[in-house]
Amino acid sequence: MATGTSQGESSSSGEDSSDRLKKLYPAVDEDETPLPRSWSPKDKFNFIGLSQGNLRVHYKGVGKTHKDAASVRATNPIPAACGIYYFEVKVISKGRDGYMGIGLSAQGVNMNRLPGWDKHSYGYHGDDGNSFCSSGAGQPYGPTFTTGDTVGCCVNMIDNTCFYTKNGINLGIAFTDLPPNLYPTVGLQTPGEVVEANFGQIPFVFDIEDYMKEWRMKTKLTVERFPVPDRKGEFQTALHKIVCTYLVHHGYCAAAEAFARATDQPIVESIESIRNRQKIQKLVLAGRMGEAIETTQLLYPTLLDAKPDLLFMLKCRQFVEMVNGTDSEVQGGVSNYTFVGGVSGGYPLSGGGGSHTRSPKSYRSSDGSNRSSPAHSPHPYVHAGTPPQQHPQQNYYHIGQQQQTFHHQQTHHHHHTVDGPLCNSPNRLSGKGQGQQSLASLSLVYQQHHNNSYNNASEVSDGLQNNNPMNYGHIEDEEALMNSTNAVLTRDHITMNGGPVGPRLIDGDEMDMCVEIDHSSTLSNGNSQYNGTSAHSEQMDVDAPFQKRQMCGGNEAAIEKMLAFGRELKMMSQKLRKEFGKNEANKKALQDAFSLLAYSDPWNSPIGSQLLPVKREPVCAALNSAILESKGLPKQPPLELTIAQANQCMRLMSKSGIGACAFATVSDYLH
Amino acid sequence: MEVDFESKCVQVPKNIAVLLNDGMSSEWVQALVSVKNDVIGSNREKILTIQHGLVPRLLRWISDESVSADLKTESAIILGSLSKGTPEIIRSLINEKTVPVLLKSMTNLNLRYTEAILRCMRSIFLVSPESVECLYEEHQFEGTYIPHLLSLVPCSVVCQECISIIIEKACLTREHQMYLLENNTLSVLSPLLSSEFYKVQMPTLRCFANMCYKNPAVCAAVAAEPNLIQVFVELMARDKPSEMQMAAAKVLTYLHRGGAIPATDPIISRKTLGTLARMCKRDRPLEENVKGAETLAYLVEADPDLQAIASITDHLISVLANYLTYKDVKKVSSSDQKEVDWGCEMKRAAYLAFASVCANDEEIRDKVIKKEGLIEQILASMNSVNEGEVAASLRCLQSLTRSVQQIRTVLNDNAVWKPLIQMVQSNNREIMVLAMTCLCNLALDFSPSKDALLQNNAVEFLSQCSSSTDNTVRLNAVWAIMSLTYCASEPLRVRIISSLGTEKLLKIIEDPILLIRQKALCIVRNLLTSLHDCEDRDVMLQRVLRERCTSDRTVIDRMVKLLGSEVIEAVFRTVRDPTLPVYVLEQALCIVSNMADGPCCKEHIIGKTEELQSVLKYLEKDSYPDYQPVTRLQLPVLQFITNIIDISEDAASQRLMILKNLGVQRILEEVSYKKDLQK
Repeated sequence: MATGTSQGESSSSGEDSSDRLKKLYPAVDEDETPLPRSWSPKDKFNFIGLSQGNLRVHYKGVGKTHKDAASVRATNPIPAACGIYYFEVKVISKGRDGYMGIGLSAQGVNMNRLPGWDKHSYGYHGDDGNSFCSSGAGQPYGPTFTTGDTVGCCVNMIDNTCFYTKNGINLGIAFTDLPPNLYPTVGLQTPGEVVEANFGQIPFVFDIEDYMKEWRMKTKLTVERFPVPDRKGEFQTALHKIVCTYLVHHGYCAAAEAFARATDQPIVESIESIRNRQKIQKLVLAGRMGEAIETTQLLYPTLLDAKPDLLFMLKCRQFVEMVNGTDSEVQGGVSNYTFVGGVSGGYPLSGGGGSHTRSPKSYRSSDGSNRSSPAHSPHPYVHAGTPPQQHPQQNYYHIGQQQQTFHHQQTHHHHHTVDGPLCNSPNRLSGKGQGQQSLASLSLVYQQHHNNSYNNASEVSDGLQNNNPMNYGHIEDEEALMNSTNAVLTRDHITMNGGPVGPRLIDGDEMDMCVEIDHSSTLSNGNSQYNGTSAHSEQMDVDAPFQKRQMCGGNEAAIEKMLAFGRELKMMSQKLRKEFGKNEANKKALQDAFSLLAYSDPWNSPIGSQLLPVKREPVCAALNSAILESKGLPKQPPLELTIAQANQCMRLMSKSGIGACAFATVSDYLH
Repeated sequence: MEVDFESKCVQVPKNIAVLLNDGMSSEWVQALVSVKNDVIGSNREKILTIQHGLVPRLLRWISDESVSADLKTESAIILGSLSKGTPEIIRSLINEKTVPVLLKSMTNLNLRYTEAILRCMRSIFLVSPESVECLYEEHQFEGTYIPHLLSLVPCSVVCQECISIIIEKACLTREHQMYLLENNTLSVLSPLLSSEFYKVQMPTLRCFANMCYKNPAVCAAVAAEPNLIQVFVELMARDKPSEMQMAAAKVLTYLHRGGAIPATDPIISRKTLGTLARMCKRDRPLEENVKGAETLAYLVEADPDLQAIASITDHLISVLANYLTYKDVKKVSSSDQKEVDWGCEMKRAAYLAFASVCANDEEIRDKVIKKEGLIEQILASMNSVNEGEVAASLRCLQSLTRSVQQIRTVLNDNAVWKPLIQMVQSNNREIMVLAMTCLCNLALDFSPSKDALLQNNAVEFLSQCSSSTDNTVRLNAVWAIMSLTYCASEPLRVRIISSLGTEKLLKIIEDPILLIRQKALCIVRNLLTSLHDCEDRDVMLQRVLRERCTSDRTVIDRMVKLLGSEVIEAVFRTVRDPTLPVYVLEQALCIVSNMADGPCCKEHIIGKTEELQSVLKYLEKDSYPDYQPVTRLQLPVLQFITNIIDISEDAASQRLMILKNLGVQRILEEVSYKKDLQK
């Protein structure tokens, strides 16, 4: 007799029990707070026996007095993020006297007792139907229960109450003001007593989903009806401000203007400045990184000089876009790139700006129309707690597999040398200027560097960042190692799709920089890849999917350019590390970018996702934030800040045992 | 403003003047629009419009085929606007025969027109239920307006909303229910339950409730519609507005009582009962508390299992007990704009629910009566000025008086008989009957309240009621007297006989209601039992079995004398009529058997051969198809024979001879062969 679980009864047979639990408690993160799924074979009195996957409990003591009572707790406490938690216990046999108690207890409560008799212990007893609330004296509560009855216990972590059910009948509230972190508990006292628990792996007799529905609705109403005292219109103004700043931040120029006019809001930033930012964003999102960097440098001359990490990030992206064939340097065979290389001092790649044929001016004139607002709204990345990061470990593993065996050995060899006494190897400059190293060695180097990234040496260097002599010495050591690797490996291991390509060698490097890229801003500044669809048609061509994609569009000259660019990038990395010390983010960015060369078809490689247009968005957001920051404006719009705060608040609620977090999610309110 | 108003009353406003002027037809539409704008939201303008006699004009246009669609539509909209006014305005609309005209003119001219007509009718029906009869009147094409109304349902959401309200209000009697059922209303309305518009769903739900209420035919039809019951269950989900949960629970309750869903179905025993119990909780509005408890009372009234489940559901008994603490909560009800004393309403609802929950189970009664102050509250409510509250408290008391234990303890301690004695004289029939049924229970032999009742002229009053023309009153009075006569003392018997009088007694012995006849015969039977001087009834019962001889049987003779030959003759008349049901004959034969226990009576009876034969006939009578009733009739006859020939008395052998001569021995021998009697 299943009440209201008609939908469960039919579908249960094929359904995995863990799926049922996940569906029942969707807000619970089981990595952090596992759900109770069975009785604990450890957390029990020895008069208790378990069977049937630790779900069935039987009494095996003498059962003479109440001193022979025995309890067992579930494996885990009830996570607060359940909001409403429910389990059922079926009485298989009432045994001699049916002294059975079903309830809850905190960790550490004496197990030689029935639930309810001690502090932080709560129970409903079958023999008299009384409820026991941390006391040896029961209160009249419900009917008695015996063989064949199913008793359910529901914990409401929103109002901290508990009610029981008997055969699907709600018996009403039994306890109030419950503490958090209680465990489902049963206690038995006389021989022959056997009970079996259902923690949700099979459908319940009682329709708990219906009860949850009510609380989901209540929580929703609490949120929606939360009183906002707004006598002076302050709240309204704040909302206007939030909307306006959001529009400005993402460069919805016309919308921002119109909104500001309608709501009488000041726009802190000039319209011209918004348009400039929008222009740069469009370039980034179109994959035209070279132009984007150029334009940035033209419009904000000091910005990138002051933020070398950002510049490096942009350049890494440019490299990726070159592989993609979308960057203007490698696009459509138009060779308008004047390479200014090998410059010592300063940042090698920054000097090329002036020689571009596609100047920001021409770009702008072609933009012509005043349609400054992007046609598509930004993608709401904001609720994602973690960025779609790549896993370096995995990627490098794949690379490693593609290498020949001796490369592995080399790797290991060098791995050892890093820790070893060879730190002051005289080889340290041998690789510089050689210019002919294999691409394979490059990727190998990154594998090695990845292995090294957690070694003691790097930690030491992090710790001693301000100690200049030590720091320099250390960097040189590693560099030396790297170059020695390159020197050893000179064979070509890569055949590119673009045709007969000779051995290409790029210096490997390790990138250590002291300035951390602000992760939070990168994560929360979402941008659509289509942010600039109102612009050129050629941009559209760039993103159009090719039937058969080739590296740098298959253009050999472009590949040359890309490789040259890669060398520059490496030099820049080295320089940055020298000046600012190690930076894991930079190192990883470069590793990821260069790893693309290890594949004949990078798009379908395990690291191919970085070639996706959607990966331009974090870069775009970071650049946008930096520009805003440089102008003294918030690098994150208040709206996104608020959303991030709300999300964080939900996580804190879950941690602090506030059950309402189960029935409200920020994303419910983001459309 | 006041002056302005006066002046307007005197002279006809320009727009209305135009409309009333036949010569200005070109300006009518314009003027109608102006009037329409004037009357919106203004009762004063509405009254003015009516005072100047615009309504008949509008109705004429609506019913005139030759009038343009624009004019008709605007007229309908103005009427719709007027119908949103005060009850007086609606009254005058009804007096102008608005409803029949609208029904006749309910053509599919255009959607705006149809909607305006429907809106107007809906507003009128909401206020004036009596106008709904027009819907069922036959129109010129020999049918009612119902099928046409239903055919308009798919037109628009407004149509759906209005039509569902109209039908909800139009379903008042069993005839209405059946007519609607025959016209396929169920399948037209059931899709509306899944409408995305709340204001369509709710009246439709109420409509289903009205149609199902106490009508097994409609209930069966609803149950036969595929998935329909499941739709009601879904509308009862806990995240739905409580008004909707309540309405859905009501439909399911009616479906259960109408026999469409058994009590064992979890839909009833868990879902519906659980929902109603929840509606009784404190976090719901008072109005829902009242409806919830009332509906719950109706749901569990007839099923002991549901009563048991209700008694453990969600602390229901405590929750209901809390209803009794409401005092002086006067608020305007949401359905009609009348002021309601919610204190009374809450108590009334709680008593009704208690009455149902306690109807059968002693344990539940005990649980209820132990609620603090319950009896005091009932006693207070019995004196309430609100008759609904009084009646409900009596219903509750009636359920509680079914408990032997409660009668002997709490109910006696609190002297509940006192107010009851007064209430049986109430002018309100319902209250009087209920009080009488409670008294019936309190008059039972083991009730300590019995003596108090007797001291307070209960006998005289009940005797009076036993000649009432109201069958229910008469039955209850006779029943109560029967209870009083059980094991009564001789003075009491005398008192009862003299108070009843031969005439009344004769009348009820031959009452057209056979149950009353049976109870009346029971009275005589009780009067003709031998007398025991012991007060302790339990001990007495044992003595009846053990030492019959010691009891005083001369009292039977005295009582027979007192009753008179007419009554005895009436008893024999009953015995001689074999067409009467067994339960009546049985009592008559018991009387004869008891009479035969009286020493003088024995002598008398044995001399009346005709009577003897009529009694003995039942020993061999096997005209009844079922032998069980025969046994029930044979037993008193056997007792009769035993009493007649009781050897402890004089001349027993002579009487035995007479019986032998009548062939009793042969009959007895035959009977003893029958298996069923040997058992």
